[in-house]
Amino acid sequence: MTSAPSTSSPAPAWCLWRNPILRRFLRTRLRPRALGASLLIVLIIAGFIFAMARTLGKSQMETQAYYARAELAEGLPASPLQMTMDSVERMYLIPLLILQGFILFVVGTGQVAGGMTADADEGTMDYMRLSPMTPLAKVLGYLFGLPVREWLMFAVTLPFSAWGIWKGAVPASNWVPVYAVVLSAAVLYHLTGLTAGTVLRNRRWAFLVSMGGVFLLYTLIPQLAKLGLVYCEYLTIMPVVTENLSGFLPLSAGAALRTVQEFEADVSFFGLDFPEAIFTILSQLVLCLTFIVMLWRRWKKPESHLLGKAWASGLSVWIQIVLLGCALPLISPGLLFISRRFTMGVGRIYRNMGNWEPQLSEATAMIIIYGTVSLLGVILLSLLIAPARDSQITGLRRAQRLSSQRIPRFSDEAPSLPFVCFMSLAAAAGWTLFARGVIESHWFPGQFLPSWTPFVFGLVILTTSVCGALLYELRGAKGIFLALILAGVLPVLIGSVMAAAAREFSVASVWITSASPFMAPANAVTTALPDAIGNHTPMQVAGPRAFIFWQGLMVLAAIWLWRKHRAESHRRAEAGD
Amino acid sequence: MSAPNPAIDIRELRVDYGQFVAVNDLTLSVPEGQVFGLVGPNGAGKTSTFRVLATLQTPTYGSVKLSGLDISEEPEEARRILGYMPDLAPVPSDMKAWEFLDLSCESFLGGSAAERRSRWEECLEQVQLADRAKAMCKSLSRGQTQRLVLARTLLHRPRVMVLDEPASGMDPLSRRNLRLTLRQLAAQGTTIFISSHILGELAEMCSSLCVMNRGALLSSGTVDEVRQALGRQQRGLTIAVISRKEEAAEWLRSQPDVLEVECHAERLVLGYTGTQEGQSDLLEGLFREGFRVSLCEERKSSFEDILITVAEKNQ
Repeated sequence: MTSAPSTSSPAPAWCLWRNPILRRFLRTRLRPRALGASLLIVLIIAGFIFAMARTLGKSQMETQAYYARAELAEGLPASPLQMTMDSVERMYLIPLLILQGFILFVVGTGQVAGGMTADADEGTMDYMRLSPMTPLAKVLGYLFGLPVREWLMFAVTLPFSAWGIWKGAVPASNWVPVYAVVLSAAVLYHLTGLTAGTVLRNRRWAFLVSMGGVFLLYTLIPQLAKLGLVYCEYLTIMPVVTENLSGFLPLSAGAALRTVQEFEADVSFFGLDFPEAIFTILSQLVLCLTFIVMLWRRWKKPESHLLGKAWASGLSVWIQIVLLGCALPLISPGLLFISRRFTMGVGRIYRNMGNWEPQLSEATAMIIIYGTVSLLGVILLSLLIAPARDSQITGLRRAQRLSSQRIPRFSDEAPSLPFVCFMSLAAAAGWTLFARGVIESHWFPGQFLPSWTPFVFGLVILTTSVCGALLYELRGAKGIFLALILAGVLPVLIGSVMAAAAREFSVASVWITSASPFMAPANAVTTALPDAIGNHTPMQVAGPRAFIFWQGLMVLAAIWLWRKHRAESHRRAEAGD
Repeated sequence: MSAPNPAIDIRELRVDYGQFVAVNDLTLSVPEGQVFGLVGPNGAGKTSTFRVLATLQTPTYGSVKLSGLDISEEPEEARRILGYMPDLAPVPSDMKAWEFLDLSCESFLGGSAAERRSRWEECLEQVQLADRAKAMCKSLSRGQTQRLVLARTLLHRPRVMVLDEPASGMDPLSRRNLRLTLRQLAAQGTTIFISSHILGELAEMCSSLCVMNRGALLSSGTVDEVRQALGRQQRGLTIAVISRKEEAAEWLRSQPDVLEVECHAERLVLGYTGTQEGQSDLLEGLFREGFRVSLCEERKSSFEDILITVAEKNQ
């Protein structure tokens, strides 16, 4: 008889030092030859930055000292020295921070995505699936194991930074938040790469998608902060770096920056003031948690959706809460408006704030962007939780085996419709509150949103996301892709060409462009706020009419798809297939 | 006293890929300490069954128990008693052989580095690969890779081993060693569920086997039982007649249950579908007709024949 396996209980997930996957990568990714080469390259670059910046700084300091001495010799009052030794030591801190960011954010993320895909590609990931470690321990093992060389490369640059911080007398209140946020952002970016690597099977695609994802999530989307979606900014390290930049710059430059920054507001979340670093780390933690849930689900069951229905619904509500929480308090002081920020920037330079007031068109644009982003968010979450056709059939067979005619509501195989409706309504509620907050603020006296606005906003998000989810459940990814091209993109392209071609086509171009569901938020807002664009020209009049017509069609399409989906579900249930 | 749990207990297992049914209501039970073979043509559902057993795939429905542990309810516990060797035996390209084994040792057994080393050295000895411990996995030959993955499967002393094509790529000596190793493990109480396309070897290795086709179980039992159940129509007879060979062939063609008769030099080779009694009557008839028979040999259908028949039916 075989002796029972003499196994000890697996280490808890948080015992990283006992994590076999992490220890695996400590061996394989830290082999002396490859590690030595990497560290040497980093040391050379960091050393070059360090030496070059110091030399230049010292030279500048000596030149200033020379002129000061010359002024004294001529009996003139000497100009105060701009460059001191403290300033010299600070000169290389920002370049080093950029190098550190490149190592952790770009190289590290690419390595995580590529390494994960390599394991799947070689078929060795199954061995890890087979091990009795918990899914969380596996996620953490890969998360900290795959980029271990990049962490070490980052570590060898730290002595240079530490020297600069010490000798440059950078206050702890500046460098602690910056490095805390760099570390949390690195983990977040690596999680993005890990998720891309887990989902994709091709190494090259995994690298490209993870880089694209990082660029989109942490570079492009944060730009929306300038257009009213302030929260997006806190997904990056930028707010914290900007807030603390003065401490990293040479003294004179830092002082100048501090003068400019004195008008900047802290994070006011529903009126509660948070330090920017804390708020950024919290924001990134929520996203980290979401990625960990996605990975945990995949490790638990390889065929499961990235997000469960409940989590996706909760996430959609959370997104609305944080978007509103960050945006609403900024309306009253006007800081939500990009024109105000611009005016403040110019005003600080010329010491003249002028009589700034926001334009209705700017407010309308922000509301349109809020609605469009909310719509895209709901569509994305809907597609994450919508079951493919095969998956529904499997779920139904399983349910029937258990003598039930229904798939359990929260299972991956269950129809996504109720949850899509819930997420749509949450997004519409957020959109309405944002629009109301902006339009009915003291900046626009006499303006108000019509009472039917919530209904229209709800309809816009509901019909598009419901159509998307039902189409995916009925026709799969190909159906969605075709719909995206034919109904989403093509009308906008054709309409744009027509509008550019001749003035006579302008009304027709409005009608054609409005066929795209992605134009619906813009049309809904301009219909609700006719003052924003006026209603005098035929083109302005055509907008609301086209919106009502196409929205009516979208409602009919949603009903038709729902009936078709229902009929197919009944047919399957009766046929038992 | 209740009967002991079978080592592998599969009940009404179904695996679907959309509309395609890979495994259809498979029910199978393997007692402890057996070497149980799984045979079937490509697409029969072998790998899907193995992946479900290995907890790598969720079935559409059905229950699978390993030594009484339900794999869907206690997957982590089931993995502790299971050793799975996948088809093609993948190995990580960035690891050395000993590192690969040490990783598995650590994740399954834990323990100190010395304890782990002692265990993986033992397993490498068992598969005759001790001299390649420090080689990079990617530098090993196909057969060595198979042996390395087998060593990995043995590390945590699993009670149930699921081996998908373990002998592919191995040289004859390694195959013989594999056979010996598996027999030894079975003698110690380990249950081995194995699939192979080298069917002759499977027949030599297995105490029982089952044949699958299109996701369904066609036959199950001892090697002879399965051969009889599926291969009864494929019996071949070789008869040597001293003279009047052509006449004897003609006479045989006129007899019931004789399929076709071919003349080869001194011998007649014929396919026969009748019973053992009918076969005896046939020989008696030959003597009665005055043919001088010097030899009669029955060629039982091989597993290759069985599989080919099954595959042809599949088409």
